[in-house]
Amino acid sequence: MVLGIDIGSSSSKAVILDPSGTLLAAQVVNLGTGTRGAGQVVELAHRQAGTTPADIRCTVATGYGRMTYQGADRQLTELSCHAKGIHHLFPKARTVVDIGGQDTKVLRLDGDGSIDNFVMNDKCAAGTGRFLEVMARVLDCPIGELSQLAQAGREPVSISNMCTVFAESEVISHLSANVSPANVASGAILSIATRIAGMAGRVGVVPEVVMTGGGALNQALVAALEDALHCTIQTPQEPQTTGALGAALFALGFAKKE
Amino acid sequence: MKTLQACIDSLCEQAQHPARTIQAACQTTGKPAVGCFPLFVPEELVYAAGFLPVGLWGGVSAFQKADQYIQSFACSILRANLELGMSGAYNALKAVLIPSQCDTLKCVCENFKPAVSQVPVIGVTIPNNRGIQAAHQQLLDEFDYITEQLTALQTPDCQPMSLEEAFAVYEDYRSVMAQFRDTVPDYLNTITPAIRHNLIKAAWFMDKKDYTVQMRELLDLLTQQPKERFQGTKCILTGIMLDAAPVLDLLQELHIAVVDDMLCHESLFPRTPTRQEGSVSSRLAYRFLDLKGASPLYDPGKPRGQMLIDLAKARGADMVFFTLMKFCDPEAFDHPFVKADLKAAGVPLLSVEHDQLVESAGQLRTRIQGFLEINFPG
Repeated sequence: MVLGIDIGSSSSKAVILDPSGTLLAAQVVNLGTGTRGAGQVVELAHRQAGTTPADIRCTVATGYGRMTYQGADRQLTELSCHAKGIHHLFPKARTVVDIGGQDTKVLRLDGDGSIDNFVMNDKCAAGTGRFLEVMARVLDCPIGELSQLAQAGREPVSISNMCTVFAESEVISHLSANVSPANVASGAILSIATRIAGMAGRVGVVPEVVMTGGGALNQALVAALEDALHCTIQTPQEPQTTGALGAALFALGFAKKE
Repeated sequence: MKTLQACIDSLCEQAQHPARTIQAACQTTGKPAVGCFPLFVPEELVYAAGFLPVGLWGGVSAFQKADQYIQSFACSILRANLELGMSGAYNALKAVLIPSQCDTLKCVCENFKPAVSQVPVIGVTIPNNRGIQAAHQQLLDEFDYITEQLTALQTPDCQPMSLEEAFAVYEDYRSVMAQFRDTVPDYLNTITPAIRHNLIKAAWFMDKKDYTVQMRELLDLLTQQPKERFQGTKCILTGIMLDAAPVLDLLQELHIAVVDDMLCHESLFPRTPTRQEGSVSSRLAYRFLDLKGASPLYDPGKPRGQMLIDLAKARGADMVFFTLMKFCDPEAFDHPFVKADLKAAGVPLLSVEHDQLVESAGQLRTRIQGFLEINFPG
């Protein structure tokens, strides 16, 4: 058995595969690096797979907290792991948009799934999951319901500021002017989609396009990005665990070599 | 006789404590100090006027006063210089030389006068269109103006000398730095990215004559060691500067060595060849006119990319690391040209935007490690 663990800024994900590559467990805990999230998610994965730590032949850690996870045999970036996981699920994917809690990345893949080019946001939180969280808080809407709220918006407002902090002020101004939360939410989703489309343009968008990470759970964002990129976007069934899946696939390869 | 490690430690220590180093240099030489803003100023004129030229390249991580004059989305080096000036850190300087090589420098030159009124400002104008004869004459006139201003500020402590003598000190310094650049690629395990940076940086705070002696001693000891086999990725740095310890440490951790640089803060200006003909003033002027590959200076042919390709080839580098100073327009304008040139030549280019406020390299680690995983798998 092998374990892939993706410790992000706001959640921890774990995947266990058997030696044939069959998925035994995929778990997500909404606690990120520096918390008990990593330990909890591994425990949950073992429970789901019916395995114990002694059954694991190789562990690959990825994500923001990869360097501090004690149980890892190897650490790889989430760039490589997302590429691996997505190529496994969508062999024809050539562009991957990963919207995580702190980072947004756009990857261009070759036909064999290796990364040809990538672009990441810098320190700024605009265009990341953090932006969605801030918007949800200002709109007094649970993050899981933000998509639904945005889809109800018929006249999205323009959020011109890309900076999360300034955009928050702008949203408050719109709400003060009696703009409906649905239209504000819709505008916020459009602004993040525009930002990500701009990033994607820097590496060039080639179909098929797959969206992954926690941001891919937001259907309104997926639809807005489809409009912005003028193409269809596919999403995995479990978009949050593709990085951990990629890490587990790498672990499987390392275990076979040993 | 000192050991190699003692020589390295001594220069690194001096680089890491600028105020203490400058104070010691002033005490040892007896000369008062004059600050030199980025990017390029004629230090030789300061030296000839009997002052100790010292580099002012920022270095604070929190801003309290500078925002009165300059926005938070401006160059962090110049914001830091203004902050340090307003905090009194430059009060011991007899003057500062501020060139006008970018828009932010032009603003800061004017802002510095009221904001740090206790330190006289000498503006330095380097002609933009450097390929014409008038540029040469303008520089000679500019040198006269700077010398005039410095002379007016001289105190009995100053030890003026001829420009010929000062220029010779700097030529000797440049010669030893050329030897340093040629030697480092053979000792990449000893000369880590952080050590290399600090060894070069120390020169900004020391008397060049003293620095040259110390660097020569270090090189003598280094070249007595057997050449080292480095297992990792060799890179060339380019950009304004890379003075961020977390980033330099990260390079070492990820087994990346710096084999040479084209950084304004480090080797770009010293590596510009000096002409051998003409008067010393003229030769000094041509050092500015012949300087290539600096984004704020107008280069019609955009030679920076080819210079990096040639340097990478000469040094056996695997990649180029472009450290894009945040909010630096000239660097951002240059980047697409460099990127296209390196791509055409098949030289992997890692571009990272950063500023002097980098305190943690978490996200940067992903970018650099990802770059290595893609370009150098296995």
